[in-house]
Amino acid sequence: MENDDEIETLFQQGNDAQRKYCHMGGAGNSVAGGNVSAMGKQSGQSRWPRMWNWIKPDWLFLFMLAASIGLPVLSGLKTDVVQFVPPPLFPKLGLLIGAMVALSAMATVGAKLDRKHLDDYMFQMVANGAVIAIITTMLVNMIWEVGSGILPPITRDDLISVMMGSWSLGYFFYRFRGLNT
Amino acid sequence: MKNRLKVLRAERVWSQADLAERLAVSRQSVNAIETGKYDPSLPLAFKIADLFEMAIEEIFQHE
Repeated sequence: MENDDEIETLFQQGNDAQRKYCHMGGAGNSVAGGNVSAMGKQSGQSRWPRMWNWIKPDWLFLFMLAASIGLPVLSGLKTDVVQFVPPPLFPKLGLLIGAMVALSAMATVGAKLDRKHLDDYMFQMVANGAVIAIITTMLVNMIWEVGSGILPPITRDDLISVMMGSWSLGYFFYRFRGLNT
Repeated sequence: MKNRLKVLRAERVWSQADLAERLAVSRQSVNAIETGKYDPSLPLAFKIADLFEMAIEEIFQHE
């Protein structure tokens, strides 16, 4: 997905002798933490976790993108029950506020775990993608509210799929274009 | 923000993976910093500066 520079290519071509020489300080530079054998061993051992760390968010968001396309298809097969009688206001409001506070706290803990386990770059891409998802979902909802009667009705599942899809698209936008665009 | 990370890494003949391992970040992070796609957080910038034994402003310059 990314273009590596020529030095990466040199390394991939197997310029090991020069690399080890330089790791030992042979090139005249002081090298921090230059234990050659340990370094080589660590590189080999941590290749899979590193690759897994790289692949995981990409696959997750690809899955979310696919699900966001599938959800409207599934929701098109059923119809939301239209409630003619509004539910009592205060119990509903209490439930909503309670759920909002509790779930926000849970989401905060979840985000803290994400920040701890993902590195900063990945976390920022996920977080910036989430901002795009929130704005997109709110705009879609607003457009459908304004255009109610003209536009076909939108269901909860549709809104969730819009949110998942725009989060995935936001993530991939930052993945390809970078966070400074 | 411009940075000299690629040059400093090349001087030490480190691959992006080597540098990523020393900084405990992914290789994609190092690549993104070098290509200007991402400005590192302040703790990571300090970590980079410590690793290269330089001041942050010697590595990162505001454009």
